Amino acid sequence: MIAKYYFRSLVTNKFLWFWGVFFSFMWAALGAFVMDSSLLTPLNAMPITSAWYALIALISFSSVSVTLAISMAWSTNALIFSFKFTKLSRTRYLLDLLIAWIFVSVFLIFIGIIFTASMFYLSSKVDVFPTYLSFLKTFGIAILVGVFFMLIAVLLVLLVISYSNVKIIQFLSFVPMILVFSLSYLMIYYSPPELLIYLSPWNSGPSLIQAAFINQQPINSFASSHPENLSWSTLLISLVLWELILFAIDIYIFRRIKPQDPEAMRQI
Amino acid sequence: MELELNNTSLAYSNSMKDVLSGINLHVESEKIAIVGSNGSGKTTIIKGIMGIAETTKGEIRIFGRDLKNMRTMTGVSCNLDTIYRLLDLTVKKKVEMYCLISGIDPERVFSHIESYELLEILPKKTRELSTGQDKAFCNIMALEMGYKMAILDEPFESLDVRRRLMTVNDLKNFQGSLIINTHDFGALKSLPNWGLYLIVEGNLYGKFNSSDINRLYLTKGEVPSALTTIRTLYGTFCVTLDKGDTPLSSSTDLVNSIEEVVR
Repeated sequence: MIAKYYFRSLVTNKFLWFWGVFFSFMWAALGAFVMDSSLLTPLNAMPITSAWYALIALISFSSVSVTLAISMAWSTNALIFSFKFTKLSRTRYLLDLLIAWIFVSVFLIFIGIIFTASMFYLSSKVDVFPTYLSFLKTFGIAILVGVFFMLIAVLLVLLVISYSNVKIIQFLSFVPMILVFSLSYLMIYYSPPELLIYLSPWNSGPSLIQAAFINQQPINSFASSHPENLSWSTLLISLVLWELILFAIDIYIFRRIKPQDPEAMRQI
Repeated sequence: MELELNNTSLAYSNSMKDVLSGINLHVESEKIAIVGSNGSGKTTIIKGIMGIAETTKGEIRIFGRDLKNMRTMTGVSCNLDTIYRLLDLTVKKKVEMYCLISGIDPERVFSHIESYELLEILPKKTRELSTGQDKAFCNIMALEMGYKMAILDEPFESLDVRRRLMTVNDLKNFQGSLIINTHDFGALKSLPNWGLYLIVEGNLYGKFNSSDINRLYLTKGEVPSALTTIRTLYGTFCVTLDKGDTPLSSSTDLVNSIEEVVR
């Protein structure tokens, strides 16, 4: 219903360009030229590039989604009014937000893959661009991971505007990103237990994206030379289940949103 | 009944205390004005009706439906600017979006905006509008989206004389029920035969007829023939017809009238 208006509103948000594009570019450059440049050989350039893209996608989604979701806090009065006095329902609103977000994600994923592969290609002189099929698979998986991050971002914002003090809302920006740096980065330095990868979208996400990028079986560690192979279907089912649960919780909490004083919001 | 506030208490979510309590108001296919000074609770009533202030006691029913469980009812709107901040868009896109979710023709709204000679606001974001432009835009949205019942908070505030007259005309020609809040008695002289309520310290008094505005007086103390008795922190006052201490219409603000009587 309002997805195209939501998309227009999202793409004109300047934070999207900073966190989604510039931030991804910076991480890709850091990975290719500073952190892993000495490790890039013809044999392992592709796995390293794919692992970096998987993590860059998560960093990008985690920061952009919360920043965009926070704009909901400025719209609480409008949301309450719209759910009562227009045809817009809570489910329809959240679906439209997700549709708009998926279109934004397509752009972010495309830029992210091109940036990352280009940086690693320039650094290693090895062709690290995914094949057409891998490119499409990565798109599909990354969109699914992006939806998870938007749903968790919406949940965090809703929890604050419904049950807590809105003044802490800016701190939310760090929550999904801290979880990326703590949980997802485990896979660079360590081989986390399989159960954690299956249960935590912060781990199943990068595992799936990396596997799609190089068109191989998902693994539990980007560092180990003998990682455990994981099941595609179990990881996907786990991620989709998380999204369904979060969707239901978000819809429920939408009923409880409290109007915010515009003056108080301006002071944040 | 189109609108019922039955012994309603209202509070803001960030406050533990009720801002208004025991409000009773019934509107049935009519136009009413609630007049009170700044801080008297006029806007809180509107926010309560729109669900933006919390109903802590009593109930609010709109077209027979309980506000607490109200979902997707169209034809009711108000001119509070915060309800038009669903997304950060230009006025043009905002009009299109709100018309889409309200099931009304955006062309109606665009021609209404054009009649106010405000076409220059269409490519701007609402946060870039002047206070007067924003007020005119919100008034238009409320009248178009609220085709069954429109609720307007201080509809004349910040408008220039020409747009103020156009707004008066819009209100006169409006087909649905109308509720307006104002602190300005002067504006009511152009709106004959409206229901008139006074709001003092969060309590509603009325209903009077706006056509009688020149006949209403405020009198200190209790008067047996009074139309209503107003009890405030400053003392007790009565609204009387044709004679009293000070004519209500002589003042631009209810507080000024009370102050005049106190002096």
